[in-house]
Amino acid sequence: MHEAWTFSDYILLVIGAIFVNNILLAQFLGNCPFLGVSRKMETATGMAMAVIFVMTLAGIITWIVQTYVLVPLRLEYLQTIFFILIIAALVQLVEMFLQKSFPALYQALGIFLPLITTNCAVLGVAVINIREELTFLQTVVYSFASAVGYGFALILFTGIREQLEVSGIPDFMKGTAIGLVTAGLLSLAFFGFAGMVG
Amino acid sequence: MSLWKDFSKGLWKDIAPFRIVLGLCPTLAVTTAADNGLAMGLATTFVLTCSNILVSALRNIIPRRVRIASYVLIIATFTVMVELVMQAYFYPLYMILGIFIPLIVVNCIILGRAEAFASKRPVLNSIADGVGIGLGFSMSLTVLGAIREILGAGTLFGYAIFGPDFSPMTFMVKPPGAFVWLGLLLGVMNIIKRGRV
Amino acid sequence: MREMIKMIVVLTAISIISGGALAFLERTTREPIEYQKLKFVKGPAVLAVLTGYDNDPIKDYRKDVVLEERDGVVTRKSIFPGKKGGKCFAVAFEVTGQGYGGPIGVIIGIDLKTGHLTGKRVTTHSETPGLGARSVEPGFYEQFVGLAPAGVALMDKGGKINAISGATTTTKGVLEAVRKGMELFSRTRDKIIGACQSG
Repeated sequence: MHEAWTFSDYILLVIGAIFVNNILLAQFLGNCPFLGVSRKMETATGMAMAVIFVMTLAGIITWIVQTYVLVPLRLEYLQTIFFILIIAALVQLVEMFLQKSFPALYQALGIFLPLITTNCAVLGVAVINIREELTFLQTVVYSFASAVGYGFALILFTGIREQLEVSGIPDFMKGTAIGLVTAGLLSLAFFGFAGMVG
Repeated sequence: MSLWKDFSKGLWKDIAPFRIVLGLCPTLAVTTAADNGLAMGLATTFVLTCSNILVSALRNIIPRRVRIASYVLIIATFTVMVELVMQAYFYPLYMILGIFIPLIVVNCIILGRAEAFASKRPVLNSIADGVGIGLGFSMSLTVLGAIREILGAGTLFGYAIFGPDFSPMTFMVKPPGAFVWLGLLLGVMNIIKRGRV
Repeated sequence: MREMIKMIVVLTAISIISGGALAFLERTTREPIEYQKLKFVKGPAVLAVLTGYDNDPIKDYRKDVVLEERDGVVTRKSIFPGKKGGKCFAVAFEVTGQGYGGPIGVIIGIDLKTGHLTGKRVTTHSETPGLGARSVEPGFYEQFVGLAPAGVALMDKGGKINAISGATTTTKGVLEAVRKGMELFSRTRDKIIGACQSG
């Protein structure tokens, strides 16, 4: 990544992160909760919101820690440990903060927050920010856009899955098996977006 | 006898990611070829076995309330070790597996085994469990990688297996192929399981 | 309270042991990792411009040799030596120029005796696919082999290089990089030869 990004470059980054390189369907990050919470629309929406919240925050904080702590101290090799601890601590803090200050939001997101620590999409985006040598502003935009892409795919997928529940599917394919095949088709559909960003 | 049981259940009865549906991200992402799947499986086996040993050995020392934090710390340590060793001696492989090496730390199989098995059993049983589940996972990844490599590139472990006229179905090595094949394999496993019961 | 202390002690102990073990492993793997990175990232380009020598330029390379200091700016280069029978014949190092889409990294190889190019390869670029990106193709880089500094210019400027059609900026960026590298070589020849022989 080089200097002097114009506004349209950022728009491309956003479109790329949401549609073309969708974090779930093209980069395979965060699949366990994807299949776990996509049975009901309510839980899927809750999870999507929680991911958007935590992933954006985590992307920003890990970038700051990497740039101002790990690199100056030459501790880059401890990146994995630091990042996962930061994310775990962040999730805890967010949980406590919401419980005290925004009880309604906490009610909605509450049970999904602990699940996010082991959602590899969060750690994944934090690592990608560093590996692609994104600037601070790019990190903010990319983390947020990736999270939106995650939520978008999750909600789309849940819509399809609710339909599948009432369709006649052979017994052995019920549940996760047909879910994965459906995700494959959705991923194929997202492939069509690849032509959008040249 | 019980050691053998702890080991062998991971190879079929509780094989990941089919019977224990966890660890899907690396399963889907790195199985573009059989050898990548195998390498990822072995790296995971190493981290899983080592973390099982430590979690089991420390099971009477770690206080319950900080156990998850301790497990994550232990798993992360071994993950970084794999990262460093891979960079130093298998750099091309490290570039292919890329971001999924650090992500071993959030592979739910490992944390799951620490919590469900190693934190309650003696060290030897935990080793058997870790190696068994790890090898089962490696097997699954290799099979999935082989199917996708054969169909998508016409090769197996890098060797061409069809004549020059074979035109590969590129979509198999792309993301959609991963989802579809994992789903189909899961369906096949369900049929086999039911046939036996 | 006792529970609390135990929790803190256990977590601290695990952190310290983990940190110690990793610090030790990091130190033992630091050199091989650096070697592997050079070998697989810059290595192919270095080996392509230093052909016909019997040493391993990546193993013998000298990191960040101080070549000159002008107006308070210190120029450092990592030097890859090309040797035969233990004697230095050529060196390779990386230079950068400004292209259309950002900086272009170029590895150039220079014959120590004549100061002519033994070859050049583009290592990193973000040029337009199909146009500027063609700077990595043989048709372009083979023109540079054996050139003296004066030859590194476009045909119409009295040099020997055909521009990549449709990518003048990229061509100019690459030429600028190569020329800068050759000038640096002629200014600091003795230091480069010294670094090569100590490698």
